[in-house]
Amino acid sequence: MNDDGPIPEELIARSLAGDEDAFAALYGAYAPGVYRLAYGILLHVQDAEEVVQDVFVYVYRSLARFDPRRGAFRTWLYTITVSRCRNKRRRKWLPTVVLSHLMGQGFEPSGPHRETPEAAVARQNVRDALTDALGGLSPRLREAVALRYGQGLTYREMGEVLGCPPKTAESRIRLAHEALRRALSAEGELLLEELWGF
Amino acid sequence: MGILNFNFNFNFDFKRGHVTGKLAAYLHGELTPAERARVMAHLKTCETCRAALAAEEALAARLRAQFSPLTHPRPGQLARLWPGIAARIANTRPPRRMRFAHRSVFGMALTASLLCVMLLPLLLGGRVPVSRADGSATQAAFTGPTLPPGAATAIAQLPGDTATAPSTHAGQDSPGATVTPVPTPETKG
Ligand SMILES: [Zn+2]
Repeated sequence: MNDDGPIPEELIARSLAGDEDAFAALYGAYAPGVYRLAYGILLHVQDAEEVVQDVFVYVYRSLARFDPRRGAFRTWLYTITVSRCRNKRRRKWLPTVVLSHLMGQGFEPSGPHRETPEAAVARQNVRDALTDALGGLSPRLREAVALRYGQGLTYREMGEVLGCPPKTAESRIRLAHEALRRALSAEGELLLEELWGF
Repeated sequence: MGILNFNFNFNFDFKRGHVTGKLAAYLHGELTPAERARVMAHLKTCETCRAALAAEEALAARLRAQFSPLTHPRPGQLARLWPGIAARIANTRPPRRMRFAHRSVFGMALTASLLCVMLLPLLLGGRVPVSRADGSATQAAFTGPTLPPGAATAIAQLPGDTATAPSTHAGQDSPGATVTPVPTPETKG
């Protein structure tokens, strides 16, 4: 996680000096990542949105505590995000995934061609199967998947965010893979082969 | 039965010298050179583990392709959240000065407490000269700048609030970056 570069530091310094436009820019740069991480863990739109708000309010009030010598800004931000997601889970049961939430979230085919309605439905079914499988993971395993596949973090970086050794991050990914493979093998196999060439 | 149907028993495989428990880390480029060499050597001779690796690759490819799009915010979704954040930030405040003020208040209180403890025996019955934390410092810490009207405008054009991830989060699990090819199995004589 060393992609922070000078921009966050400058924005952080300006935010600390009372420049709210700088904090707004910080939000603009990092809110998408925070949302994607929160949604990847919680699989619930409203909860993820609340986490985004809580995280940035907390970050604004705590910016002075961030020490770049101890780690990248993104690591700090994601640590806060994971913590907020855990708090959110404690307050209520992880909701059953509402598949309608997933509609219209950038799932449109990226190619220039238009899909037939049947292909669109098939593609949606494949994604729904993945979402169901992710929803069946334990929260700790889902955190690992969200950090690895949603944010592209290494095991060491995952360990920094999750507060565990890299080996633990590795084992969580391994366990997540096993669970996902089991869950996904039961459904959508033909669709998968047809649409993704597996 | 498709490729994802390949399941293996990690503990059983480990006892038999298989490397199934290391395949995810192998695919992610997370093994040490020695571990990696061991896995590759084993894969050349073990059909079971090659099949397991194929299953791991299929799953990793699917997650790389589908996980991130699954979690993208909708256009305008994050901009809609900003006013709530701005309001909460405006009500309580702010970063640096409050922190230092707290430090100052707590520091003074701590010093006063220590002085009390140390001087008490010498001041039996006397008046303890404790400096008190001035509440005005805390009050001043909460009078920070307010959010300018322009901040909301800046948020309205969030660079990442689209279906495309911002460059600051571009560290995706790209296939070419981390996926390790399956070693060519040794030719069976
Ligand atoms: Zn083997």
